[in-house]
Amino acid sequence: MNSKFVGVAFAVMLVAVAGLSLAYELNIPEVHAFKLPPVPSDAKIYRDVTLYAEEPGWDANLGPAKTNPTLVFQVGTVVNFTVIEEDTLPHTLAINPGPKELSNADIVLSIGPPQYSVVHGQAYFNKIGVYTYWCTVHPLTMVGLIYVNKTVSTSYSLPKLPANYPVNYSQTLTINSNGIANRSKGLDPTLYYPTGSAVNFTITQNTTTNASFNIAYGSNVSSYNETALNATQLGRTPGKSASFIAYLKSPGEYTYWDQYNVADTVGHIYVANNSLKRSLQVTNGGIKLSGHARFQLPIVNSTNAVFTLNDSSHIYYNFSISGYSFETLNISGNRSISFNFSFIQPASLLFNQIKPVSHSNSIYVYLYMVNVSVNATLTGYVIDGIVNQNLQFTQYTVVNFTLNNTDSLNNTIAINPGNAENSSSSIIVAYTPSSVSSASGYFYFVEAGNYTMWDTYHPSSNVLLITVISFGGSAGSALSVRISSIDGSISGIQLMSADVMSCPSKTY
Amino acid sequence: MSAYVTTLTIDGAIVAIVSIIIFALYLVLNSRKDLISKMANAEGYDSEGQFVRDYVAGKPRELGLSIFVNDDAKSLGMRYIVTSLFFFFIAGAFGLTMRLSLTSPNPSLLTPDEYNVLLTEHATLMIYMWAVGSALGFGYYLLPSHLKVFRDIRGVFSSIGYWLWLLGGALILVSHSSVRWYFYPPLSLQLNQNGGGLYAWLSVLGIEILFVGLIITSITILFIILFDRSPEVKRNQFTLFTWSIIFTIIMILVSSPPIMVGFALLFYDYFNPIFFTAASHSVLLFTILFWFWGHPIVYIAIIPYFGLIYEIIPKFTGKQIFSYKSGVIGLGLLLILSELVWGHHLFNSGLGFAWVLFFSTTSFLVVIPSAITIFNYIASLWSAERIRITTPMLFVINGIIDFIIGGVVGVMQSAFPVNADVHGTYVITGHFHFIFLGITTGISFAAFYMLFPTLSGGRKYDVKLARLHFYFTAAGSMLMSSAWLLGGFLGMPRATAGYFPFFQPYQLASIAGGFIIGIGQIFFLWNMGKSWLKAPSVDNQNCLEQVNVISTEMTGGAQ
Repeated sequence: MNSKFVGVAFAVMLVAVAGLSLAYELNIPEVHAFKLPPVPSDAKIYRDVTLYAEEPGWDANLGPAKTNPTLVFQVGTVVNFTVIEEDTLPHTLAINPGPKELSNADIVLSIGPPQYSVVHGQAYFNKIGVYTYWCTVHPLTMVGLIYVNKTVSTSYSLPKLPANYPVNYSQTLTINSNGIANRSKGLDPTLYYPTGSAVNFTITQNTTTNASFNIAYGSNVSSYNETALNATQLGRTPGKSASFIAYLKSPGEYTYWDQYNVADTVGHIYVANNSLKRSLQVTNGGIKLSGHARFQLPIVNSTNAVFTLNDSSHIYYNFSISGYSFETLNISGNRSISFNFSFIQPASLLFNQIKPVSHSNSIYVYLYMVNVSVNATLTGYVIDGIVNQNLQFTQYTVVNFTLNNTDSLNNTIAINPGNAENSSSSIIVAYTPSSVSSASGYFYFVEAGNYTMWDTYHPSSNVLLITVISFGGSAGSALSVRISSIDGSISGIQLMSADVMSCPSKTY
Repeated sequence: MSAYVTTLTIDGAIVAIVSIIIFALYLVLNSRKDLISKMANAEGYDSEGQFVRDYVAGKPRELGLSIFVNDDAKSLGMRYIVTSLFFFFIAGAFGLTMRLSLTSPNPSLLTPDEYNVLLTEHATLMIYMWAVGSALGFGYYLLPSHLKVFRDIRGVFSSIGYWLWLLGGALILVSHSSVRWYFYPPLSLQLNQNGGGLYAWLSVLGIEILFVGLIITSITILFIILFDRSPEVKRNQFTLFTWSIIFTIIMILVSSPPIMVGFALLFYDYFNPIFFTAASHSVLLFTILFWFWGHPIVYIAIIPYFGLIYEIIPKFTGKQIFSYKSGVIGLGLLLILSELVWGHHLFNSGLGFAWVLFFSTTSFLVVIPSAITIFNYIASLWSAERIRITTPMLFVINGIIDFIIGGVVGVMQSAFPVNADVHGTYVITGHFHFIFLGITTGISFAAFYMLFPTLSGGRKYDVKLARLHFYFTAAGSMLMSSAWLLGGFLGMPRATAGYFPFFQPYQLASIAGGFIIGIGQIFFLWNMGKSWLKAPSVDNQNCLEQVNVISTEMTGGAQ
């Protein structure tokens, strides 16, 4: 090229490249966008779904549990989403086909502050398949699945009762306009049954509107449910009754409600493998078990526990379970009262007496319990004949250590997290040779990781490592403790969350 | 066939055709390079670059495609200068289009998605490809002359650095990224329906590659300064431009590793989100990694131009700069303080009062070296018997004025209460555009005009067109940035595709300013074409490469 044209070429190329770049930049590919089909005017199936939007996850109820419920619809359903702002952060409800989030999702609605603002959106599902609903701002936590099936009858049903299976329990409930009531347990009572129970529910209609009795597995109202009794069976005539037998085969939490009045009629059923009864004394020195002011209650996971508080004084007392500061019970004046706790996930809790003096007692809700017998010798701990052998447990294991006196010296078992002895460790077993020949104590391994077990009198010789491996499941991710009184007298205190709770200052 | 497939096919075809053309050019030029290599061997040279320098580049060379295959320092310099000019026009076109779209309070010409893409690309390309690229270009071009280097042997590394830098910039350009130039997660990681967010990963990859190139280039230039300079050039004889490049390189080498790690982790997060989306991480983690680099890059984009001003002023005043020592000290202090002020970008992000106090204090301290530098310029002009107001000098004087305005507004933001009020408004945009347009862009053009006789093979640029270029650029810049400042102080939020109608007068004024700048660049292009078409008529030397000489306006040569 003749050098005199360099300038012209330079200028032309600058303009051309800048123009092409601009054209390219404005050509943002939009064909990726997935769009739900428009709602047809002749749609026949409509469903209403309410979701609370909070950064830890979607939920069907206001409160701490964030479950990202699985939604199941029949193909051809128009879903009216109602999203309620719970945490004042911006959220979107995005939907895309497939079992995971895709960048081309259709954003059905967006929501933001103020708290409890409500936004509605519609989604029409005309193709069978799996969809993902999620929040584009919080894609890692606020994500759940939508199943669009040919029919919804396959979505969920309680297991069939085996032939000749005995009906263990009966439960009578009345559907009122303000909730589902039991004469002794109050509105929307929490019910407790052992695993494998067959419960004969008798539901009586007490409103003039449509009513149903739906049950879902889980802690939330879910579209993945069984309509045990429908509007036809219950009718609109007050006094009409219908019955069905629920076979509660699997342990866990169930939710029941009337689909025509979801706002007022949501209750829970806890089904647990185990049951436990403890009678506790309420004293000025704190809660006592069998006269002991410091006690630990190891409770295997999935346990319905009944605690009876026996108060022989005339002092006002106040109790709580750790983690739920508002789950406070009040008792005063020379009486006994029983409470039913459902421990459905492993946790390390405290049973606190708040007033008049503060005392706490441990409650271990564990998956496994292991007994370990330890001989204390001059050369180290001997377990199963091996000196200072390292131990391994699974997360959520309560270990009951028994320390046998074999060296006629003072010995302890102290445990602390980490790979070395730490002065802040917990001494769980201690004895002096003159007093006892053996002693025992619990240690609850809630967190995975390494722990050091050592003798505070002989730290150089008696020391070993305990490795706690991760459970790997979802247990423990959320604390779920429900509490209610057996006789129903304080059923109003059954709490779902701090936000909606109204804690009566009831005096007995 | 879907529209997407059609788009892909057309894009692919364009890319293929361009690739074939580039490959053909490469073959032609590579054969020339082989020829040079043989000639160098025949002459007994170990280094082809050294041969080119002695026989070709040592002499004034005209701009041509050969600069993309020759690896001598002058070719590298021209490569960077030309490439950065391309990116200036690309990013400038993006900026003008954004302005155009803001004529109406409601997004009109551009959708918000398109606006966000242009906003991101404009900022990222202007900073990394124009400001940094141009500075590296003048560094490569001028330093060998200023330091009288006795060998030119680092072309391979330099070239690798250049191509990685260019590749990085190209990836950012094609990425359609819309995550702003600071790549904050979770926005940059967020899956959304917008193309900009969808391809953010490509821009993260691009910027990481660009950084690798930048590091290689920085180390190479440092080696040239330390090991290749003539023994007769002592440290106290370094030109102030040399010092500015040294300080810039130190800043790059010190500040970039944390954000390179940050970008690497961010890139990993696209596949396995464990670093910046995990529940345990602090939202400030990436921002701190970024701004530890993000503030020094601002200085990296202006300090070399401060150095150029020190070189340009004496050429038109006929006197040495007022104080060489205070020049070095001022630039050196800017280096040190630039590493200590980054927290002022996070004043409103929850750093805590103690840190706000610390960064506020250090930010105020930056006034000292900035004032030393500016007063040095003013004293140099003040003490001159005669100042010849040439086009480069006009750019210099305008740059000083713009820097004072932009700098004062910047210092105001060091006060937390003011910062809390104006952050996120057009005050910030006005502040840095005053500086980037006045110093970075203006001084680049000033230096380009001074190199023009050499780059064009002995031609003169058209003074009238050059002045028009200057007047339009300076006036447009003043109008645009001032309107932003005024609107910003009233709360006009920046980086949005729309705005409240209340702010329309300020937006319209800034749009007018932007278009005046754009028209100014047409004069520049016109000048290039027109002046090059004329026959060579002057000495093809330029005085910017030479120390202690006085320039003439049109020839640029020594007088």
